Amino acid sequence: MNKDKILKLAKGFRGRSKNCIRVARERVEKSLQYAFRDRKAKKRDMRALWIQQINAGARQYGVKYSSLISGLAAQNVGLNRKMLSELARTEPLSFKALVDQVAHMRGLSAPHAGAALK
Amino acid sequence: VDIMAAAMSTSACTASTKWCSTRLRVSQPFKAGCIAPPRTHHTAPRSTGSQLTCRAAAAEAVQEATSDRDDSQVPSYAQNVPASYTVVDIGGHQMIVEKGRWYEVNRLEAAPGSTIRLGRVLAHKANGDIRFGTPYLEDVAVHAKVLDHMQGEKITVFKYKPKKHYRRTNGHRQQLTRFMVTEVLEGQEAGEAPVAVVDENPAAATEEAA
Repeated sequence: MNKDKILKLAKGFRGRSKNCIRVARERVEKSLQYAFRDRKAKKRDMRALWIQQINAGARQYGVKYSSLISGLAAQNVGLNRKMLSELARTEPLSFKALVDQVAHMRGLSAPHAGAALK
Repeated sequence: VDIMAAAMSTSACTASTKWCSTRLRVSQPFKAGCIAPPRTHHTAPRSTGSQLTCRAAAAEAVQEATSDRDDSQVPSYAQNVPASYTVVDIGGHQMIVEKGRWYEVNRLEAAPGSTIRLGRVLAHKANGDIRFGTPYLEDVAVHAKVLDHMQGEKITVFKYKPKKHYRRTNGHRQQLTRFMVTEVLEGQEAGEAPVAVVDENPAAATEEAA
């Protein structure tokens, strides 16, 4: 990459890193390495977030994430974790119905919202 | 098992301009305890089939309806939920699609201007009920018109190992397709509606239109 491209990528950097090519080149290369690494890490992070959201939503109704996922897989529901977390956030009644169905299938009692999970 | 879901139908789902016509974005983290209060409860009978429909017990719905949580506690991301949408599996991603909106996905093998049918429907919400397919809903047909093919923004892929004399620089532009959902048909209409393009290829699991 020539100097102009590097300095354009270095916009917003701190100090001489945005003005002086010798310093900017190092910082820009580092930023591109981070971008490569984090493009892959973002997918992992989002999935972890969805799992946390599904877990929180399911535990409100007394079902753990692991039970919910295995129960949905047994019933061949194809929704992935992104969609399940979206359901849990915006359609709580439908998510509750899914959770209740899994709880019913596994023979667990389905306590109402607010019950503590043992 | 035949169960039905009572979806939370928000009041006055406004026109489609409020919902961004782009891919699904996960906005805010889920806050346990912020459950939106139920507005209505529908128990319309559903035809049996290979779909999984959830039924919320009337007693539970009544119990939740009597809670004294008011509308101000509904989180912002749970407001203005569309009254009807479909969850489809396309382009390697699952996304929520509505009629009349356009979406960008990975490149589809369909010519621009052609009509395709999105075959893998995972869930469908309409008339206050959400139905989940096991794994797919066969009686929901989502027709979409391929608008055009394009490439995404260029991404610079830079690989570097220090002290090993290794560095690679490549550019990458993702091949994308933009399509607009023209109609969503259910039940009787889904089977009878003609599709403008060749039928789905059931052998290939990752193609939507041959």
